[in-house]
Amino acid sequence: MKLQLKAFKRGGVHSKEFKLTADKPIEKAHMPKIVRIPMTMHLGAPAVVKVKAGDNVEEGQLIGEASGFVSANIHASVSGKVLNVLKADTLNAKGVDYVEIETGGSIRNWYDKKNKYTNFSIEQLLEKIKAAGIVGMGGATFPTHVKLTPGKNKIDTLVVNGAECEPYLTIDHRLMLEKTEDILEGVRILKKITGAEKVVIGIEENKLNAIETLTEAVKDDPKIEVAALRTRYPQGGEKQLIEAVTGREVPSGGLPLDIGVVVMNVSTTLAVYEAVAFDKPLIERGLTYTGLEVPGRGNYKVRIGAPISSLVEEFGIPEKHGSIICGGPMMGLEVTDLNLPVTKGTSGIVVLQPKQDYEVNHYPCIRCGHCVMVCPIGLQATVIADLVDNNRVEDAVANGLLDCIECGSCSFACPSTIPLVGLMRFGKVVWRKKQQAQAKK
Amino acid sequence: MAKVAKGKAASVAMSPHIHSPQSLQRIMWDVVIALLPATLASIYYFGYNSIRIIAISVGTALVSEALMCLMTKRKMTILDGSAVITGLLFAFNLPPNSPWFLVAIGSFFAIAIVKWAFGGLGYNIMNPALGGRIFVLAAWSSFMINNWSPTIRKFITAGDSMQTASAKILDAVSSASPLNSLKMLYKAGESAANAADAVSAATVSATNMLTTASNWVTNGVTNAVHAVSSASQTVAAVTPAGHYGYSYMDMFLGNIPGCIGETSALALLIGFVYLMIRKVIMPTIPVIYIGVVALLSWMWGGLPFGTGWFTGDPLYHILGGGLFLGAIFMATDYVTSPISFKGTIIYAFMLGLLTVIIRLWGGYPEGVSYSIVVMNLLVPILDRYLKPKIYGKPRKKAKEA
Repeated sequence: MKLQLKAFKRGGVHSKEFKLTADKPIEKAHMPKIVRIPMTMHLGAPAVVKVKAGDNVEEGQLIGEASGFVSANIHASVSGKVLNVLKADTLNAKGVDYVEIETGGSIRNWYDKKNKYTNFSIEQLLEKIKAAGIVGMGGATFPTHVKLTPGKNKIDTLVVNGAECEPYLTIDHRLMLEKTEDILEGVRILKKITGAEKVVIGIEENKLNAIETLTEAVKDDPKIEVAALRTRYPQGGEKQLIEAVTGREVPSGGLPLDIGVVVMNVSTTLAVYEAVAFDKPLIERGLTYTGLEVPGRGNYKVRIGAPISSLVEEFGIPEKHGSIICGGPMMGLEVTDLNLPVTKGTSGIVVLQPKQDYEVNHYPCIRCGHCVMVCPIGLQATVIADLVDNNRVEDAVANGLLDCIECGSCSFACPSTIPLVGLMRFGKVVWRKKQQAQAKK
Repeated sequence: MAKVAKGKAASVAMSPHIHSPQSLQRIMWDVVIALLPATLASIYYFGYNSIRIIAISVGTALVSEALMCLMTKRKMTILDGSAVITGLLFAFNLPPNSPWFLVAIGSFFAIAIVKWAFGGLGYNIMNPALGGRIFVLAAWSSFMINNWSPTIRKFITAGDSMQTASAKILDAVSSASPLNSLKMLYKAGESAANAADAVSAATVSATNMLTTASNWVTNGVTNAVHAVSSASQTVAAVTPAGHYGYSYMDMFLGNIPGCIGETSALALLIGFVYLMIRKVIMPTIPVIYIGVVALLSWMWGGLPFGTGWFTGDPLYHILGGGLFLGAIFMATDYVTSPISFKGTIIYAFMLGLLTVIIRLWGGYPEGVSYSIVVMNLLVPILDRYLKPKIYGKPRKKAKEA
């Protein structure tokens, strides 16, 4: 089929795609023996622990309650007994409450009773989403019910993010192929909540069968269309996706809803459907366990809180391996401790080869301008990073530091292997601290 | 593991974990490979002279680089390829009979002063090879101008060995290189015009002042006659037989007098294509620079001859002199060219403009080295004011940092 490709206007990098698991249907991973569920797997305030050691819990039981407006509920992903409530670190935060549950008891079937959700009001739909603890599953983990809460702006377009631009990850691709109707039901629910007039499902053209499947599935609905996107990282970044699909730019410092757009990831859309139709909380998610030379690589449905070590045990790992990344290799974080759990935002576990790891040498900047050429936001990373390195954070902000989406294209392209993204992150931390200090005065 | 060992970035989360295959070393050595066709061409056309100059230049460059690394207590960088590139490019900018001390001191100047005195890799304010060239041009101008040899080809075809031919061309030194001939013709045109004025001025004086002016008349006319005769001698020496004595094919292949690395447009183009395939440079700067020179030399090239606009010879101008070498290998040097697209366009356009102005109306026959050095010095201003538009911000001038 002849495709007209949409794309974001400038920058981006095209690394090797490594979509090794694109043809592997989603399978269920084994139930883990224990799950370790942190009380913060989302942006916003951590949930408050509602259980204590020794309690028996049922699969789907609320074990952490959302505290404050921007927060999310957390549920037991298995039935069993609470072993421990303790403080430990996650990849993103230190000293977080963890609920450790030893798996035992029954596995619940969520799909035997279906709600008549087409009659639900918007408030009821939002209640279901909030109760289920749904957060953005593309990686940002922003609480979905907060994102969908009606504000003063009118939403005219709902964009469904099926881009999956990170190398190696294929879970959204498989979901679009295997759960097409469920996802489209989720789309219709979201369309009703947001009041959007139009829905666009953006899919990169390296997933041709997904584009065909979805185009066929929506052919009778004039309000839903499928947009084929040029395959280039970071096409799946919210700002780039909106620019490609609608031609509009999210204002600096603003949100997509300022320009009447809401973006929702494919996995999140499916979770929304399951929450509304079956009252199923977010207790498991699909992810891609992959890597060159990984024996059991594929797409798997995994319980939230399953330690990454349980996946390594089940699917294998080559003896000599490089970094293990939680998420995609461009924006994910390195897994330093295999006891760390799969969280609501874990879209993949990528095992890199030793030769794929590169040394961060921080050679002098040779002014090649590659970072400027690849930045999708139009920033001059070397200028900003240099200002941060020389403690000139205000000047860095004046050059656009806060607009950086940390996609990593600049560091990927820098021949001198300067840690550009790291310096930008550091600059933002310093800036926030300064702002907080100012606010206290 | 991809980890940040030290510095500010070490205290925050690290990403990305994969990297493009392009590294500093790979880029540098790609440029060295791209310069190999020109190196072979220089030996093909100027024989052992080229080998001698290149060896001294690259050798001195490496020694200077090592010395500076030791003096500044930095990691030894002679293997990253940058000193070899500077050594080669500086050698390419020299005439074939350059004395060894000129080559060595110039090469040392390029590395130690132009590059290292300003901070080393990434901090040079102008292209190091060109900095070295303009230094030797100022210090030893007699070796650098009016000092052109023909190539060894006609001696080789006549049966001489490379050794004999290389020595013979050093004896056949003259002032006739393609651009130098052109410059002399311009000056001859000026002299002829001045001579005609002098004759008519002398005639007027003679008519008005009879006795006291008789000496004036004699002197004025004598001077005028000398001027006219030297002008016609110059014109005769150049013997326009087509295009001031050189065929376009000779100029394209490189069989013309000139600096050892700049003559062969073909060899340089092969290097250019290689660099583009390896994604080391974008064609923006060379295409715009050479294009502007072609356009302006066509528009204005006839003006010094008095033949009017749009009568210049653009092909002669772009194939003669060091334009291809400068546009492909020196104007595109990362450190001294702009990092934004808008800056690059203006930079390349200004390079073309300055080159043509110097060639047609300036004191030197070749304008490439000075144009590039002048624009190198202006690059920080271009970078400060010509930044790309940021996504989500309105299209107004971003204030400089």
